[in-house]
Amino acid sequence: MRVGQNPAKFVHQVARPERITVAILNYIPFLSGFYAEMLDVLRTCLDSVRQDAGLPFDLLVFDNGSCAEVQDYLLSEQRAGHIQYLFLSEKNLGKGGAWNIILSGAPGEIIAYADNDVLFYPGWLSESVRLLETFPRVGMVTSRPFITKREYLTHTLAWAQNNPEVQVEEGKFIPWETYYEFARSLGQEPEVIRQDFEKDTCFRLTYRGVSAIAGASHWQFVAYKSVLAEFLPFDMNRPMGQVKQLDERMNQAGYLRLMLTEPRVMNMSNTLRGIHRPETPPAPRISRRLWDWAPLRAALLNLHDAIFRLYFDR
Amino acid sequence: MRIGQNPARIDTPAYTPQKIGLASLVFIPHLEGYFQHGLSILRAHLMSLHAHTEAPFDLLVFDNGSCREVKDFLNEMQAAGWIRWLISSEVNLGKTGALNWIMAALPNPIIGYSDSDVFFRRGWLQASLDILEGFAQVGIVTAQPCFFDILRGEGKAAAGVFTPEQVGSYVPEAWVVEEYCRGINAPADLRQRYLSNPLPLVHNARGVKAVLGASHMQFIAYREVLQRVLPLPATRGLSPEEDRVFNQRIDDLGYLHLSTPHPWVVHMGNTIDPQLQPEVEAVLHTAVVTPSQPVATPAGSLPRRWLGRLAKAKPFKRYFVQLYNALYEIYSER
Repeated sequence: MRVGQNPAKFVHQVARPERITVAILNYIPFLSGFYAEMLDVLRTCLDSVRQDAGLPFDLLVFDNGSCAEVQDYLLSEQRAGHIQYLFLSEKNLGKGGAWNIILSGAPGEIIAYADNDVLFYPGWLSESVRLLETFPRVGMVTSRPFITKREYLTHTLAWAQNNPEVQVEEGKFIPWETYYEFARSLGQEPEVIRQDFEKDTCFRLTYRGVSAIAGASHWQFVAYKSVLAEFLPFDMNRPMGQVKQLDERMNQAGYLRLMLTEPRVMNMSNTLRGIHRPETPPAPRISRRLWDWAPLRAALLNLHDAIFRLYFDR
Repeated sequence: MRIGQNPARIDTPAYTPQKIGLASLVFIPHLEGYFQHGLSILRAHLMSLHAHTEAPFDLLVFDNGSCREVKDFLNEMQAAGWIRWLISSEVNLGKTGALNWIMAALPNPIIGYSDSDVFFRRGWLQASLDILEGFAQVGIVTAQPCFFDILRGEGKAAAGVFTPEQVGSYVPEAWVVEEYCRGINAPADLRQRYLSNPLPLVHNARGVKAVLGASHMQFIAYREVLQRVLPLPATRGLSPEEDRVFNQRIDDLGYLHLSTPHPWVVHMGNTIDPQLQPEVEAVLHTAVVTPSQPVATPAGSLPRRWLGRLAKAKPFKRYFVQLYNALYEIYSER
């Protein structure tokens, strides 16, 4: 029974969420194998996101069923006042399922989404919001340039080519160093990167004095929550792979997909190699030929996946 | 840079939410004064929900800026498998601010909401579903007869669904009124009014009865209906005016407020009513199985099933994990 008056009734003003919610999606089911360095990667991500973003924001972290060590770290970060909203899921909802919750629930008018392996550079948010607010009908802005699929650029290019206010240029607007560091972060071999660089071009769009590269991607973007709401819900059936729908559907719906001309974020992937320490080549293995014998390789990778499912898939 | 293949990319299914998602909103800023029994109330609330909900559900708890002890308790509850989703806000966003988040984010087709000082009795969900699924144009259903009309007689939706002849009257038993009045610490004159005024009652073709009116203290509703009233204004901690906007919008859309004639839930408030104490004690001493998903029986080819059985034996885990890491090293570094 109620005794006395609930003091919450006398709270005349509650905290107003910031206009921008930065949302980080995290999933680290264990701290070995592929995920051995991921806690350090997550720390680096969260440390960098707060450093000189250029605009105020609330930080939301959605943890998609990580192991106890990772959840403990996130709880300590929230206690320290570094995370405004912490969402802990007991189960892995997949990226699409997590997006359904983040993109519909996050309180900001603008949502800046990133995977947990993104490194942020100063000014990343203010520069991205500048593009978002300068160009008309922007769907999403990714805070670095890289080569993206041309089939998802069709509307952006059509708008630019039909708008006399826009200067459209095709060329090599991504410097080699910027191109290489990103492709290398995805694990591509240097010789393949060199070959791709020789043939790749991109489109630079200049509108009202502001330049952008055509394209964007689902691993990091800044968007209006109201626009994202048009594309919800996402298919939740699989842990990964559903979210490419956003790139495709946003293009189909006629929204612009843009990137900054300078890199303001970087993909770390699952290690800090090339970020905090130099990349070192792996030690040569004597028995390489045996491990690469196709039937053995298939069987062992099958075993590797089976163990993951048995112990770590929540 | 990326080394190896992300294991999450293998073709494993993601968790599929249940048909029903229940949300509880917690705000216990300290454990003194008004909130001195806050943890006991919260525990009774959560355990009654688990003990007395006879269908699978996903539980979301939204902590709206509670104190450290409460946050620790909720983290322990989640680690023990009682809470599927835990949202911890650093600050109090207000009730409607939290509702904006909860109702937009829960992925389940049917959403139940409750303040964290509500005690659930066995049968509450089925009684609520009978009404939600048994009447047309249902907005929200509360599992307790509604004595207080939050729409202050201005609701229009019911008149669009029922003729005056279809609306009967219902006089709850005195204990029902008394229990409700104790829960809200109603003054004597209000208690007398509730005892003497009958409640409006409707029924469907299958004989399911419902009281006209519902409360935002606790309700279930279809997700698609709730999404139509968002976002709600959120400037105050706990504001009847802002709460009322929710009910007003439901009504404006032509959806009904309905409640069960029997009190399947009770408002505990900030202290446990001595008359409710035996029910609370019974819940706290009941062994309830955590709602975690059952561990899947290993399926697939014979070697996979054999591997699954072997993996269940605890001593083998260390060796399997070592093997896992070794295979990762072999195939990721090239």
